[in-house]
Amino acid sequence: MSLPKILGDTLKNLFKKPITLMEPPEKIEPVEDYRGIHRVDYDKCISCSLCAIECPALAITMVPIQVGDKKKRYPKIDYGKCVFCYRCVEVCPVDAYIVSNKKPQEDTKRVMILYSPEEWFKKKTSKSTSS
Amino acid sequence: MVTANSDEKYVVEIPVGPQHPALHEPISLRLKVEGEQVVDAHVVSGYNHRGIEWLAERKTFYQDIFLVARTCGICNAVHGAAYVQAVEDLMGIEVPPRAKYLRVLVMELERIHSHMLVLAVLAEVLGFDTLFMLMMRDRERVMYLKELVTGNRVHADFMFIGGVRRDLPSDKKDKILKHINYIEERMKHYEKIWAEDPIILKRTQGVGVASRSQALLHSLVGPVVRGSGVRSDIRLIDPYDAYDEIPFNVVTRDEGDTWARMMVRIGEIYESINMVKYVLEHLPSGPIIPWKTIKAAPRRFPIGEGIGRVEAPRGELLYHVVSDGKPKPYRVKIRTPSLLNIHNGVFMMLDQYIADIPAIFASFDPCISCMERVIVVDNKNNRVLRIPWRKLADREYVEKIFR
Amino acid sequence: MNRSFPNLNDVLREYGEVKPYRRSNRYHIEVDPKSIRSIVKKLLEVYGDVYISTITPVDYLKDGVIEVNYELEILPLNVFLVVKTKIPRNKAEIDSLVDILPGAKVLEQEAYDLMGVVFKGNPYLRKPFLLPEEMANETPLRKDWKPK
Ligand code: SF4
Ligand code: SF4
Repeated sequence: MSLPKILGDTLKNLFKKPITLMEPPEKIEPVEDYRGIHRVDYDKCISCSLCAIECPALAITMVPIQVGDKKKRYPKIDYGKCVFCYRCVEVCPVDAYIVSNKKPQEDTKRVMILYSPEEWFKKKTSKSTSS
Repeated sequence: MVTANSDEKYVVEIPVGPQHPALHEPISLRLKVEGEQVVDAHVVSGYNHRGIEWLAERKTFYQDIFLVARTCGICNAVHGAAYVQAVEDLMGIEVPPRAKYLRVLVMELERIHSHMLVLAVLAEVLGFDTLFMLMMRDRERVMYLKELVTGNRVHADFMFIGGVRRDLPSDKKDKILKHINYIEERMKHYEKIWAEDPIILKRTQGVGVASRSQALLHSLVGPVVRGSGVRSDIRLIDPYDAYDEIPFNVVTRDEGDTWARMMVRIGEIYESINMVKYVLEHLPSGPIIPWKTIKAAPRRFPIGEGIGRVEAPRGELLYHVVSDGKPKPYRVKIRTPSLLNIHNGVFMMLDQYIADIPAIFASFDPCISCMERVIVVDNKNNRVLRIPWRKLADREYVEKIFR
Repeated sequence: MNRSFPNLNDVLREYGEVKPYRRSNRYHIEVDPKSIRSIVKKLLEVYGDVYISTITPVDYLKDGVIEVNYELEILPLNVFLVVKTKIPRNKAEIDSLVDILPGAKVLEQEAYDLMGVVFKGNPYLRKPFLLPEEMANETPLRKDWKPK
């Protein structure tokens, strides 16, 4: 019986650092064009609701928002349902989506997994009133 | 299933799974054993059925590209490729050459990591944990390459009706080549272990043998049937995408046992590595979809039907899409390779020892989520564990609880 | 290939006309449901290396029929043949292939479970196969099925 071939590997690996990363705090950096968290630029959005129709996971709902004196519908993204396929990004006729390579973070708070237009417009109105 | 001759009185039925340390998948095997030898085997499935075929009839053609990819985590790109091939067949779309080559690139990367996974899992089932760890470490590089090309390390979502969804910038080529060369070198090392290690040879050679005619009659597919000496490979017999332009060999072996199936997979990894290199060298230039942008994809679908067949890492994968002219498909039939291999392959377990069953089963490269597509069932048989052994030997009692 | 094989059209002439699909090596033929066993038997006799890829039942609610597609791969010819048969919806019965082509076993089980097509002569048909037990009387892929 010959010596098992694997012995060499085993000995070599005895003196090496473990390859497994402890995440967190250690982190694997995703590649630059990783399909990560995406946001909507509501200033660009024309409320066509194409993204909500095309989303395969039904993660986008159109919510009514009062902007000035007009009422418009804007997409709200639920990252709990989203499968990060980026179909919404490529289908948007005005390229309103802002993409990033950030991985979605697990969180117990609801706000982290929803991205809704309300806050965006609240911030905007408060900015315009203060200035 | 087929039953070997046995004296019924001393037969004991053992449930293996759906949760079992030796079987890493939610499936249940009912083995009837006499002493140490299996006389009857029977597969109980349904633990992972999610109703994807039903759901696919209720989503649009474009949403289905992403839905069907979720049938299976490991071979998601080939599921997408088979589906879009069926829809292209229905619509009569010609795919641009660059997209064809990019599809081959992603599918071959997937084949490499899928085969490395099953080689590692079989090593673990045999109790060879060191090899498992080492192979999984190196497999991570292929996952990284998939992330580099498609944008996600698991779910590629790369295929699109008419072409692919992203292009490959030329600066990524060197990175892919670097890692692929490393994998090739490591695979040579692992091949030596698989071919020479006395423990692996003893546990796998002559175990779970399927002869050529048996394998064909039971309609087995993929590396399982190629391990029995049949040259059945969709890439060869029904070339799709760019496989009619890319040179490759179909790896076959004649032994038909567990070891032969694993050696076929190792051979296929080399072929895939060569194909990836060939694609990187000969990647044609041009568009990746037949329209100006992906937004201009047609919204009308003709009445008719289309068939898509690809060679998934586990064997032939077939999609049959029927359309009645509406934006949603009328019927999407998915036939995954694991369905045939798991259910029809149980004949190989007859007359084998109980200890070899996990090895034989793992050598089919079973993928349960691929095989089943509806709702989770609760397992009512866990009470069996509490039955004393003496009672289990009582045939009538066993009959009562399993029927 | 050192043996030469007869043309597919000649072999299946008595059952119907073999028509090509868009791709060069894919064909389909429409036949009477009663002749499915003799077709498969004949193909196995003449060509030998034939395996069954899948059985695709499609429910046409309007016409009241279920179309059962037998998709066969004939390895020596490199031909993919779809044998189409139509059976009535309310009496969905067809002969089983399981004794001449054991590979059809699981495909028939699946079609029986999800579409309710009864394959006469298949002893392995059982419900539930993939579905949960409480859905034992239901056939979810039929078009008139509604989730509860
Ligand atoms: S990435 Fe996909 S799943 Fe997520 S919101 Fe966009 S379309 Fe929906
Ligand atoms: S597709 Fe673009 S423009 Fe249309 S609703 Fe979505 S984000 Fe707004």
